[in-house]
Amino acid sequence: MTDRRERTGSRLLRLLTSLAWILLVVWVAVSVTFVLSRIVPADPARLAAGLDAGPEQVAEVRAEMGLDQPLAVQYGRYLGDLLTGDLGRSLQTRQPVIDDLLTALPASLELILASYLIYAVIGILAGIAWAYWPRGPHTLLLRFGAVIGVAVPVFWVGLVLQVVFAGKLQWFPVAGNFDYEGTGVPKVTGMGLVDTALTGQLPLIGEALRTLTLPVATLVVTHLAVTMTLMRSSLEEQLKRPYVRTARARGVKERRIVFVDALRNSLNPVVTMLGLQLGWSLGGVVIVEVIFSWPGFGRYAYQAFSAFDYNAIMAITLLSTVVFVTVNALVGMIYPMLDPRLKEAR
Amino acid sequence: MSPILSVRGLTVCYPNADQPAVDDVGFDLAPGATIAVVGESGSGKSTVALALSRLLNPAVSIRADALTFEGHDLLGLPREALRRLRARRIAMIFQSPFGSWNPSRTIGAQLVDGLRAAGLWPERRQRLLELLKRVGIDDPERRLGDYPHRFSGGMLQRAMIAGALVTEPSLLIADEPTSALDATVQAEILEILDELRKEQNLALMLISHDLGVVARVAQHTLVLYRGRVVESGPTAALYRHAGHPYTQGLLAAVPRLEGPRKTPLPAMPQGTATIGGCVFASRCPRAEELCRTSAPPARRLNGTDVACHFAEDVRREPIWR
Repeated sequence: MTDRRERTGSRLLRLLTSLAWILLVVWVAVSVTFVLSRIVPADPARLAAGLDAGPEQVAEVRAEMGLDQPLAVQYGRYLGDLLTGDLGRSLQTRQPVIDDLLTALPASLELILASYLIYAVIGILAGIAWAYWPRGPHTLLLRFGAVIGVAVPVFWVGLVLQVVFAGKLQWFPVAGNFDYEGTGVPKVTGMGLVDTALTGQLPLIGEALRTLTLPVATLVVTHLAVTMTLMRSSLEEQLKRPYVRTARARGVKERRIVFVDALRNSLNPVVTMLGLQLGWSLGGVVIVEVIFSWPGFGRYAYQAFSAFDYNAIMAITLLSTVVFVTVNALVGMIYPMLDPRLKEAR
Repeated sequence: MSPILSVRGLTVCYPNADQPAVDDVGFDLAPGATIAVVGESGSGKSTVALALSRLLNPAVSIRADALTFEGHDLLGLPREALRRLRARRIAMIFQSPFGSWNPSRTIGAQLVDGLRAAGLWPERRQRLLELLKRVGIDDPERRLGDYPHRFSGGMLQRAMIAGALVTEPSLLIADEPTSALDATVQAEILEILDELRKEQNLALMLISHDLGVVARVAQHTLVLYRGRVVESGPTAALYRHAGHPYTQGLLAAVPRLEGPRKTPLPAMPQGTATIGGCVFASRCPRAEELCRTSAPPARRLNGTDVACHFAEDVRREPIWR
């Protein structure tokens, strides 16, 4: 009984420790971006006041924004606002940054989740098939896919898909996400596919799928290769281990050896990589969203950085950091499920 | 009694190797008998074992004039038949106790896999528990739920033996089963193996670099050097009248508690191909011109078959003591 209580206690302690780490990392990231945004030789007040503004007006705007205060005061105020959930106003949209982000995020999540599910599942399956049947004509195809995915840049894939499937064949729209206007679809989640699915109307769902296809395909093509090749090499490496030979010597069927014995051991690096990819996903969608004019977080970030919209930039950095460290912490919880030695070490 | 395993002219070539790893090896094994294959690392002894059970990579070429086990031609057997043979008739245990178990599955799950493959689950469950107890694993029922890292090397090897013998195979190939264990555990494991062999009328092929181990269990010994059988015969005769300089060298290298320190064998030279001559010539103090140009055929001398041009001289005046 005490044993169990102790274990629960230590689990809680571990959770708190990792939470503290996350907060520390986020704080460092926020502070570094804050300092960088203040030492960059660009003048947000000038930008905010507009090109026609005279020196007095700029000074007025600067005072209004608090930019005439000492750096320490600005920093303290920034952190204080952050704790109350106030991320400031965007210079471009004149809206609170938090509102901008909340509007942009669902569109990005839709892209990220759809592409991530597809390339994680297909990548793992293709990698397994590759290791299981290492010879044959299909390896040529897999090898080709792997090289394309690693060697060809995202923007190129996106542009080619646009030219071929939207331009020439006109199967899919060139750009933009699902257009709610005039369809009567209520904006529940902000993700076109989910919202149309909620209405249950097939033509609308088809339309949402059509807008999703090309940007998702671009992300899948460029991310699939890494998952696939890593899965393959990791499984192949496991299949060379002595315990596989033992299982073969016991007459265990090859399929069982691959799927029950070797697969679980080979998932470790794949999980690590998929975790990192999910962590980076917010940054990874920038190029795709810009190419496909997808009104999500990536395009918002691109515009914010281009215009030196410093409140937005800091919020973007904050969010990316939070997502990255949180995903990493979650991935860390998967390892013990794969390796019993880690489970006992806890 | 007709042999259970019959090997003639077994030759194994790894891809891109200039010399075969196993060259023209032949022997018979009677039911319930024990044969030892000895030699240093790289002599090809493990390759012989893996070739017999067809566990080598498919890219490795295996040729033989005959490779028969219980009337089956092991080289011509289709995959599924071969798998069934491994599941029921030929068992193997390997050198590295930790590497040979999957670290992320329980001992029980892995042993049950073997029984399932043999079609003997669950009716041999009780027998498995008995055998585990027999090889020295206390409270086997509970221990089956443990992962390999909870076991010691010796315990893993014991469990491996129990798993190998629970299907009642007729041949057990043990590839350096005790080399990774300390001396006291080694002796116990060998004893267990030998007892079970007698009980189950099991033919045992023991692969080892340690002549001390071999002397305890094997009636017959095959000495392998660079893939070739340099000397073979009843273990006792081999000990008393080793006719090949290499056999003598191996015997001299067995550590003893008393007496002067033994002369070690010189290290194996690298990459000296001995085309046409005796495989041991480049390392043999007794080698003459003849040894470098002509391969000595095996001939019977005082009970062992020895492949040395000067076996009589070597026997009279041993090279290593």
